[in-house]
Formats: sequence, C-alpha cells, structure tokens
Amino acid sequence: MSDHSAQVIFGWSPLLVATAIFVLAYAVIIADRLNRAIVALLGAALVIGTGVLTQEQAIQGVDFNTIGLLTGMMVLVAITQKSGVFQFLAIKAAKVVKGSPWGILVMLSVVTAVLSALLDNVTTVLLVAPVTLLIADELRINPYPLLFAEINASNTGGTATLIGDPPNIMIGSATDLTFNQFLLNLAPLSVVAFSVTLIPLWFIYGRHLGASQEAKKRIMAFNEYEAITDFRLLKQCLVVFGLVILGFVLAHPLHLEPATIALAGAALLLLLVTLKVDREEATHKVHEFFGHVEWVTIFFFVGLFIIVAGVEHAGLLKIFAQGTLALTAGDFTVTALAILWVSAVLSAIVDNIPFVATMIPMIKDMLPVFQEAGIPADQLIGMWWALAAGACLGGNGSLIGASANLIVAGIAERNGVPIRFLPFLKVAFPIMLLQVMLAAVYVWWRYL
Amino acid sequence: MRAREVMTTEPRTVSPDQPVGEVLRELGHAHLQAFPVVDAAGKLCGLLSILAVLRHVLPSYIVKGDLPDVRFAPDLNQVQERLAGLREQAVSAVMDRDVPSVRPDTPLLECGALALNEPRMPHLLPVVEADGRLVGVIAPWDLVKQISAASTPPQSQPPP
Repeated sequence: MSDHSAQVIFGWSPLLVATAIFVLAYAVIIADRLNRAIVALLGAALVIGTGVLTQEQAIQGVDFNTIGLLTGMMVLVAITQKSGVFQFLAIKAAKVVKGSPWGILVMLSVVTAVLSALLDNVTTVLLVAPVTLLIADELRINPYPLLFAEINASNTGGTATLIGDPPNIMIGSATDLTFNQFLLNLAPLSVVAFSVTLIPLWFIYGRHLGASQEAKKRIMAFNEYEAITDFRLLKQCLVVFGLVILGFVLAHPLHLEPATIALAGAALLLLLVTLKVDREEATHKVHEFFGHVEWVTIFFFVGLFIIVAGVEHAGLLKIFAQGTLALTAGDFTVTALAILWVSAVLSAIVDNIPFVATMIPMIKDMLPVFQEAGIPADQLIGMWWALAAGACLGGNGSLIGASANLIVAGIAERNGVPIRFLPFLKVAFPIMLLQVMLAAVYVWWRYL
Repeated sequence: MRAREVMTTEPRTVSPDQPVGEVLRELGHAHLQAFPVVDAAGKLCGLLSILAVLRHVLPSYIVKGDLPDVRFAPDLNQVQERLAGLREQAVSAVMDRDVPSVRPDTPLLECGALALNEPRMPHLLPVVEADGRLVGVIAPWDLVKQISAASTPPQSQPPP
C-alpha cells in the first residue's frame, strides 16, 4: 500500500507528520475557536501538501456515500419543512394528550425521536423547539423540561436508524451493514432507552408540571390543520419521503447505496416542486433549497475524512488498534464494551463525528484478529452497534455533546430560557450513563 | 439638498424615564409612529416606536423568526398581560438604541437610503449635531414631499 505513497516533504516520517496534523486539527476543533469546517479543510490541505497522502489517496479517503446521503436528506428536509407538516405533528401531539403538560412532554419527545430517526436531529429540533416555546407559553409552564426532554429524544431517536445520526451514516457507509440491519439491531435499543429515560424525567420534572383547565383549553383551541401551509407540497413530500424510505429498505437487494437513494429522492422532489412554475422561479427555488444544505457540516466531513485517511495510511490507527487489543487482552467482550463506554463518554465531551471517523478504520483493523480467534460474524457486528450506540447516546451527556443540543440551547437562550452547561450536565450525564448501561446490557445480551 | 432643509425642527420628544403607557397615549393622540427619546441635556438616546412596543409585546420566538408561521394558534393569552406590564415600564427599557441618525448637512439621498436600508425601518430619522444633540427629525413623508415638490413644475404648467 505504501509503495504508491507520495514522498513526505524533507524526508520526515509520514507517521509523525500525519499524527501531528491529526492531533493539531483535533485540538483546534475541540477548542472550538475556529469554524470546524475551516480547520478540517486546512488539515486536509496539510495532509496532501506535506505528502502524507497523494491527491488520489486523499480523494479515495473521502466517503462520498456519507456526503451524498447527508446532502440528499438535507435537501429533502429543506423542501418538506415548507409544508408545515412538522408544526402539524407537534400540535397534534399536544392535543392528543388533551393539553396535559406531562403528556405533552412525552408526546413532543416521541415526535422529536421519530423525526430524528428519519431526518437529521438539528433540523428536527429547529422545527420542534419553537413550537414547544409557544405551547409552554399557552400552558404557562416553564419550557425547560420540555426542551430538555426533546434534546434527549433527538439523540436517542437518532440512534435508531442508519440515517438518524451522522455516526450511523458513517458506520453504515463504511461497512456492509444495511438500513434494515440498523433498524433491527439499534431501533429496539433506542425504544428501550427512550422509554426508560421517561422514568427519571417524571421524577425530576414531570411530577412538578401542572396546568389550569383554561390553559389546556387554549391548547385544544389550536388548529393543527392551519399549520399545513401547502397541501399539494405536503402530498409531494410524503410520496417522495415514502419512496426514499422504501428505497433504503430495499437498497441492499437492489445494490444501491443510501446516498444514491437520498439524492435521487431530492432530485425527484425538486423536479416536482418546480414542475408548474416558470423557469426563473424554478431556478430561484432550486437555489434556495440547495442553500439550506449545511455546507459547514459537509465540508467538515470532507476535510475530516482526508485527515483520518492520513493517519490511517501512515499506520497510526493500526498502532491504536493494537494498543486497544493489548489493553483488553484481545477479549472480544471486553473490547466491545470498552468501545461502547469510551465512545459514550468521549461523545459527551467532544464532537462524535471526528471520533467515529477515527474509530471506524481502527475497528476494521481489529475485526480480523477476532475473526481469526473464532468469533462468529453475527457476534462481530456487535462491535459496530457498540460504537453506534455509544457515539449517539453519548451525545446526551452534556450540552455540547451533539449539535442538536446546542441548537436547542441557542433557541432557548434567545427566548429567555437559558440552558446552562452545568445544571444541564447534572441531569443529562446521569441519564446518559443510564442509557449506556442499558446499551451495554443489550449489546452483551444480543452479541457477546 | 441637505437634511436641515427638510427636517422638522423642535420635534416632540420624550424622556427615557417616562412610563411607556403615557407615551403610547400621546403617540395615539398625535397619530405618530415614533418619538425621539432625549435626555435632560437634549442628547438623543434612542427612538420609541410603535413597532418597538409591538416587538416587546409579542413572544420573542415570533419576533425573532424562530417560529415563522403561527396560523394555527388562535391567539396568545399573554400578549395583553405583557402590554399591561409594559405600560408601567420606563421608555428606556423599550426604546431602540443605536438607531440610525443623520447630521444636518447629510444629503437627502443618503437620508433616503438610510431610512430604507435599516432592517428595523424606523419611522423617524433623527437629525443630530456632532455632540449628539437632537436638532430635528425627518419622516419618510418629508422625503416624499420634497421629491414631489421638485417634480411639480412640469405638471403645474398651465394648459395652452
């Protein structure tokens, strides 16, 4: 593999140069003083510029399936949110429980979790959190418990599917695991973790929530159908979303990558919404919807993939993998559980995307060792579920654990409901530990 | 043409300590959209406008655009209460600070550009001296009157 390597400048050791870039880039990303996309792209440029990777190797390092899937889903969501369907769901949820505050907390969490499983978490909370503030205002209750529950629900729900959370997208793309496998293996855990979390939430917040009859009547006076701004658009979105989900389910037998399905769905929906408008407006609309793609995230991924490819190529991740195996004495159960716990705790403190991007090639290095030791394939995949569950649920551990948490905190802050780091941590971290405990039991019971 | 030639001199002003309720009544009587707020020394501190009052009364998630569409909510129970509370507050708590202002010698074209490009669309453009003293105000209407006055001659030609 190394015979095609570009020469590293000044004849320096590729391992040292790649590691230095990797450590520097991650330190700057964690320090969070510079935009993370800028850091990742500069790091990637250094990896190529210093000759750690050739131009071709760098491009090969980028997982275009992850990029395509993220972009496609972002376009789909940008169009669908115009229909008002997300507000509709939130209000419907509040009315189903007749305006009871605890019922609303549970139902808004369910809506958030389900949407987060199918869409990206940031978009979900961006749509649900403002409606939550309005509902809390009408009920005259503190919105904090509802927002807290929604943050937790977005990460817990995102764990359930291949498309739910960036770590899952990356894992799904780097392995042969299908959409259905994610659903069958992670969704049960996600449902259990979500349900069990309601118990502490009831004791901490739920039992103190109360609202007057008039307040509940005000909620019942909401007309959720008024929230649907465009029925034609809604129908188009539902049909295309249905097709995309069906596509994910059937992707494997059809030999299609999820990125292909998501981007095809995005193109189809763009076609439908621009079909009956004149050329100029069509151009404007397409521009607008592509503008909703979070390019910072996309370019962060591109840069990160190249940085990780650099350390992978230079052999650092092999050393990490061997080190991990030495620490766990090559025991599969210990290794899998260690990955789960380390992923969870680290993901609570730092961005889980760079962590997972690093872990994937590392685990790929370790799996053959266990395979030779006679661990069957259906147990081996437990390692991936441990990584996915740890990285996704870990995001619940602190306010900076996931981007969705910060988005909710931003909306709340702007509207006079400050969510502070430490008070949040005090409740969120123990709940995260509880969820990871459940995940550990689940992974151990099903795969180890 | 400069600001000083079209501005209204000695405009009605309010003080930062006055209660908002009192100022709202005066605005209503005078059919105006905004009053400049000046301190005891006559220096401009801000602008109290009807829109600023509305911004304080409506929920922040609507004002700040987090919830762009609220057609589904028949009304919000707290708006009236908030307005009642606001009436008791001092003007300084509600007024817009850092409002765009012009100097007496600012050209009219720039006055027009300022009035339009400001996202909060002030209903009044205060005219201040270099030391911050308010000397007059320009309403968008003053600008339009000036333009129409300049374009009157051809129209007012007597028929042959």
